[in-house]
Amino acid sequence: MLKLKEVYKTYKNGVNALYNVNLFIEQGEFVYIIGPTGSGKSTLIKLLDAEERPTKGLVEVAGIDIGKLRQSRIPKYRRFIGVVFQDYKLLAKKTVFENVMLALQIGNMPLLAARARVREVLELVGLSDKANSYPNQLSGGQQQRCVIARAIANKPKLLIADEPTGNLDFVKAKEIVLLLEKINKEERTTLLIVTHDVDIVNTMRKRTIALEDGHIVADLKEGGYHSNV
Amino acid sequence: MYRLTRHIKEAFFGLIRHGGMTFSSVLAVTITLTLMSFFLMISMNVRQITQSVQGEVQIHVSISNVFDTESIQGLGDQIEILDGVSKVTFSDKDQELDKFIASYGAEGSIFEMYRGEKNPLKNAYIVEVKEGSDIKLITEQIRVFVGVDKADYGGENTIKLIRFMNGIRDVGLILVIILSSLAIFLIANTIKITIQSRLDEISILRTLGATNSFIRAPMVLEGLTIGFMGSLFPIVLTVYGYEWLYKLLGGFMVSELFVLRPVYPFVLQISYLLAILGVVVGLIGSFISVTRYLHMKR
Repeated sequence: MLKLKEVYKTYKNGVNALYNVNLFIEQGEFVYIIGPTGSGKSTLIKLLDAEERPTKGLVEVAGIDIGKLRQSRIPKYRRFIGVVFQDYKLLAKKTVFENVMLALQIGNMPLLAARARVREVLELVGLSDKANSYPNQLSGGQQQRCVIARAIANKPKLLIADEPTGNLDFVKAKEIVLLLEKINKEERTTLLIVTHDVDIVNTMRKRTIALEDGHIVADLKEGGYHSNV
Repeated sequence: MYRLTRHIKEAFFGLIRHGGMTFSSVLAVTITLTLMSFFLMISMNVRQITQSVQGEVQIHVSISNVFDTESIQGLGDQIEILDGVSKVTFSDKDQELDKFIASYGAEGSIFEMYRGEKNPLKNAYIVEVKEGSDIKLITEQIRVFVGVDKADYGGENTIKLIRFMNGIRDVGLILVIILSSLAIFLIANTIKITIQSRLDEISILRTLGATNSFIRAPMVLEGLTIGFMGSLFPIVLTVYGYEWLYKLLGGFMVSELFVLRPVYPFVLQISYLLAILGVVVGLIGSFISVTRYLHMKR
């Protein structure tokens, strides 16, 4: 599903963000990527999101070589993946329903099917009763659920969650990860959670990959991570 | 289809959300198009007057008496193929005499005695030209043809007037082009500012896989609407203002020689042109600034 082979990323300003990263993730896996600030987590997301190209090496998602992806194909590629952000990135002037609907409008799904799918994902994330609320009327956890609903609306092959629990307390954070786990199981979506929340990683054990200074320093299949990250 | 509805809805909300910006750019377009309408009306009337004056400018070519019918026909063909000649009319010596007599009014009857064999006048060609300013050159070309006794055109002053009016028309058209560019610039700038306040929205749309055209569509529709709204006041002003002016002047400018264009369909033509200009200017302006921004990011 996801293949990184000898990936290097050096930015134009000379910053080396990733060195010789090799990674293989199977379809339907649930993986944590952890590491301190500056470890290369964000760069990894940018590569997977096709926002950046690798300087060297192969980045392949669902058989698509990101480095060779043409500019005009990027939008379509992004509909194959879903991204959940720490700062939610919801459109403030749109309701929960409209925010989720937007992803489907972009994907050009027929109206009736799109509406049905929005209701389905809102049900899945437990926000059916908030469909007509605006983001500022929701709690942090609810906003994150809305973002997750939007990210999975197009049934992406890969869901990347960038610090999804960053703004939440432990209980809420755990709820979100449980939700992501449910999506992972029910929708067979490969899940990549980028976080520095060691508590969550250690409580809900899954495969954990640790990044430090642009290198993969650990890949623990059994999960959990005890370090000063 | 519902995507189009979505773009229209988004454009409408965008216009309301950035109400201040919308108002100021509509105002800018209104002012530009009002000036444009003013120059267009002047230019097109000057053109009309020039054309009517031009119609009076003719070359009178007297043909040698020794020329037979066939040679006369040949000369006519020779003149007709000259660059800038619009019409060549043959006038035989009897018609020439008729015109001569008519030009003297009631007193012309004394020349009746020259009818028939005694007619001293010559056969002639009356040559009309496309551009009054070319008349001198064409006359000189005709003069050297075999069988031409004399070739004259009426009035150095008429030609000067035509040149002057052509000058006014050209200046008017240049101003219209400058004003169009100005309006494009103003709209482009407005949209650029609204883009700044929408960077978040654009980046969210991008992560969701929106194509550039999906992001661009509502903003271009906004620009188009701004352009159209900006054309409304100038259109009303054109229709009522020109009608009022036309009535006030009685359909003429300065003298009866200078006939103004009738109100209809002239004002409607200008109105369509203003609406189209507004829409096109809005479209181009917004397209330029959105595209410029979208190309900056992957």
